[in-house]
Amino acid sequence: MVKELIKIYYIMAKDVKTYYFKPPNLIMGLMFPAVMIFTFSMRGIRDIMQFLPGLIAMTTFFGASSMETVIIALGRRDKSLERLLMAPLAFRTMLSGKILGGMAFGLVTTLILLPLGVGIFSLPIQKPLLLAVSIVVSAFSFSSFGAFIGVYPRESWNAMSLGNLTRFPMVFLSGVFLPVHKMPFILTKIAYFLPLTYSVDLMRSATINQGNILSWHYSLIILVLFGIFFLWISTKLIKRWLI
Amino acid sequence: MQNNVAIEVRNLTKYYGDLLAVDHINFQVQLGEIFGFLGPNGAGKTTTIRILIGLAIPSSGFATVNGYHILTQSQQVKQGIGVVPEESILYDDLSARRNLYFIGRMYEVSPPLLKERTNGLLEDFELPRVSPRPIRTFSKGMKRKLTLAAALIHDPETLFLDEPTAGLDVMSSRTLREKIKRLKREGKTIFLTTHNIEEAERLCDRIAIINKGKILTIDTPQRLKSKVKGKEALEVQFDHISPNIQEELNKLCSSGEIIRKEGRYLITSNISQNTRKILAVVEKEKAGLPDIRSILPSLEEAFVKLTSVSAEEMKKEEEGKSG
Repeated sequence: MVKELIKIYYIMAKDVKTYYFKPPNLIMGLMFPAVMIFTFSMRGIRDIMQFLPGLIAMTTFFGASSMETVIIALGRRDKSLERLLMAPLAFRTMLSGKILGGMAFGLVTTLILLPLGVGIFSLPIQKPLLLAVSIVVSAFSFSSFGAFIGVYPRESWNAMSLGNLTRFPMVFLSGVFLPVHKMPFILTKIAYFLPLTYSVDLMRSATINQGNILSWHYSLIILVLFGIFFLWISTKLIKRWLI
Repeated sequence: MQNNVAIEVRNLTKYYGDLLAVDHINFQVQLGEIFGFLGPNGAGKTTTIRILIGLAIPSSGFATVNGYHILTQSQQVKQGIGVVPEESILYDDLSARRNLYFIGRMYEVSPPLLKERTNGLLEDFELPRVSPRPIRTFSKGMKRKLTLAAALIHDPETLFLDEPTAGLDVMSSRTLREKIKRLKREGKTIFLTTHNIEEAERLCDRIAIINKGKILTIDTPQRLKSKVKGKEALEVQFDHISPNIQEELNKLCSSGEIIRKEGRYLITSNISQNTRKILAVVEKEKAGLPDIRSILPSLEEAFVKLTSVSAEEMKKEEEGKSG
């Protein structure tokens, strides 16, 4: 177990150094959420208070999942995943290391934008501990989702398209812009199957105390389960497609 | 390990859809030997290696590496082998040192030992000066050396080298071959795939010739060559040829018994009889003894005979790969 954890750590550290924390990638990770925040801030301070928690969740979502998807697809193409698998390494360990890298990137992008929200727009943080736990759990869940999307495509541009095709509808269906309970009935049902929905709700609970889908305990558990499910299915798929 | 066998393969078969890539192959590699897998592109060499190193699952049959079953004990198999894949798959943005360190950690080498081995290997492969540089700045030869160093970082018992010198210049290939020979002297078992016939002949203790997924033969390079019958010849070279010797040689040439080639004479048929004839004239003339040496058929001829793939085609394939 300890040996596995060490390997996971080194894979994460390698990915962080070789892919994530390069200035262009960091800028890309921050640009979209930053633009959204400032766009909504134009509508006035009351509106931005409603949207900021969702935008924080979205920042974690984009940060943790988007690069992750591309990196896994790239690893299949340039055979760096194969290089890892030549070592005595379980598929689960390899993907866990990758997911931890995505998580780290999601956390960093969130932690850069969060103080902006708090500082510039005086976003209240009612439950700081819940906010911290929610961000970490969301990053895990979203990074696993990113791995799941990344295991199929062989080309990075394909991975990017597939990622965007799933991410953007998810942003609109998960209550980032329109609270889930105000959406049409059928869309509400779909929202319950999306991890971002629970992350947005958790962020609302932790900041403006307006979570309204489930109690935060259940939302956290559901997010963890989403993360484990995506890790499990990604491991199965990559094992099938790589060997 | 049973009977000093490092690798044992029995009835190994691999289908990719309807395509039969490896067709019921059987072989054993002894401990400490360099075993060559020689064949044209698409023969099944890389598929076999991928199965043995745990990157592909066989459709049927089984194999053991260092006494471990490739399917049920794949982690133990991987711990005991080092792999140099066909392409140098390392991390371009990391330095040579960091690449070795990272790969070493994947093989559970402890940090103090890893530091020692990294320094040793960088020194050994003449890379210490460039070791802090990201390897994207390395030449192909340097990357190849580093790939071999990475395969050795955990001191494996068995090495799998897939076309180790493909695409390298003459000097780099030579250096790498020397390293491979040294590894054999150190007791490593080496499974080497190549379509470079010369390389196989120079390095391997035994060679399996594979084509269209089937192993056609397995033997030592010497025995493989001797399997090509009717191609032996005797080469005779004179410092000075007297008119009588010339006349005798001309007679034999006109009857097709011997062939004149760039001042040398090749006796290709009735070797002992024709040699006696020439030596009789030489003795009669009291001329100096000519240089006589036996020309054995080459491994290339053995390969062509067995696979019906010409050496030129193999060379083109290799150029295609390096290009």
